[in-house]
Amino acid sequence: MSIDVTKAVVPIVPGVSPVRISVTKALVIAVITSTPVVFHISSCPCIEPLKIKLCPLC
Amino acid sequence: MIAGEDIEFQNILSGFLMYDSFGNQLWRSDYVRGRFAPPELGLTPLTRYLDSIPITPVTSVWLSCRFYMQDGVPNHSILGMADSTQEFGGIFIGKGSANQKLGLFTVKTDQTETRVTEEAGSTFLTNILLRIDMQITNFNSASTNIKVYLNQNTTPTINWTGNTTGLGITALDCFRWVHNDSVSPGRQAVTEIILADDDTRKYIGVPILACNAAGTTNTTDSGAYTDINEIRLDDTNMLQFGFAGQIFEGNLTSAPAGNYNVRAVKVIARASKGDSGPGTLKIGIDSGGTDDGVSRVLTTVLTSYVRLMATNPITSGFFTIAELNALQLYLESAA
Repeated sequence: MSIDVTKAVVPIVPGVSPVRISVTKALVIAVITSTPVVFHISSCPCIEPLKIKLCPLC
Repeated sequence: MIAGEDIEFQNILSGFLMYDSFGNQLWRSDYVRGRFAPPELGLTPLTRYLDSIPITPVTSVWLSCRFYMQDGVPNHSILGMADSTQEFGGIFIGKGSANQKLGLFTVKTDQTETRVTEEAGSTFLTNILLRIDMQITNFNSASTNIKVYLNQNTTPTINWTGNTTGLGITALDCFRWVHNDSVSPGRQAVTEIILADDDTRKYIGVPILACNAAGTTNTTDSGAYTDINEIRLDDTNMLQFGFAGQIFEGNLTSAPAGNYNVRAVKVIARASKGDSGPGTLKIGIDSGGTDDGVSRVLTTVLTSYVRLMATNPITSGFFTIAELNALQLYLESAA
């Protein structure tokens, strides 16, 4: 009987161990911005990004 | 909420990752290592190429990405926001009545595609790398507002208010790229995807930092940084952790040159557990010699696990460029 791996519910992965954690890929992603990033506290009424920067509560 | 998405590895539904051609033409190779590319011609319009990893469903959201397309077919959707649980449906931009005219579409779950508006001009240029930012406000209402900005302009190219009820979906939880025929499908690309609850136009981009050398510690049973840093997904080589408390650290490629601020850093690890043995993976960073990992409970199916950090958990401040450049990827097994 052949198995169509494209339709398998559980991927068939050569080498994945039944007794170990396997990590097959990992990386780090950053999001960068030209403008200063600022904290915005949840109680602050300001919602506009420019106002946030000026808001004394933040 | 902010979910920077780029070269992902589990939700390519049709198409593939390319990295060996058109760098800094169809995609910014100073930032990312590759691009999603569609399959060959002939698919039905609206066929899914790619869904980003779902976020908590929302009705208001900003979407940002870089996009390149040669030619294309008028009056069809290309990319937008969708409901990951449905094969069809959502809000999309695409080709209007001409292939350089930006159009806005609603799509129902029964595949009914309606062009609700298009730009007056023809600024949705082909054969050039475009920056797209789209703001959706109050989806699933009679007065949804959608603005589409090209190339970080202050004035939207499309500013439409109308009814988005009755599409068969009531919230949006993923970026989606769908089929629109092109003379050269290989010359299409989407990269540097961001979903956010604030204005994405201020974001410069989404750099990828991949392991390029061994880090400080590696006490895993087997595997090295070379087993997890491939561009095109390869599940046949891997790190393996047989006991709790084993650590892997990997040095990372540098952040892009320039002077900028870091809005967020995300760690992604594609992992699974065995039927026995450790079942939790701490994922995080080594920043300045201090490790910080957050537990993710694994299943026996390989899945991408994500940790988004708006600030550096070790300093409690925003990540600096220097911190980014000195960062190590950190993984640790736990029971």
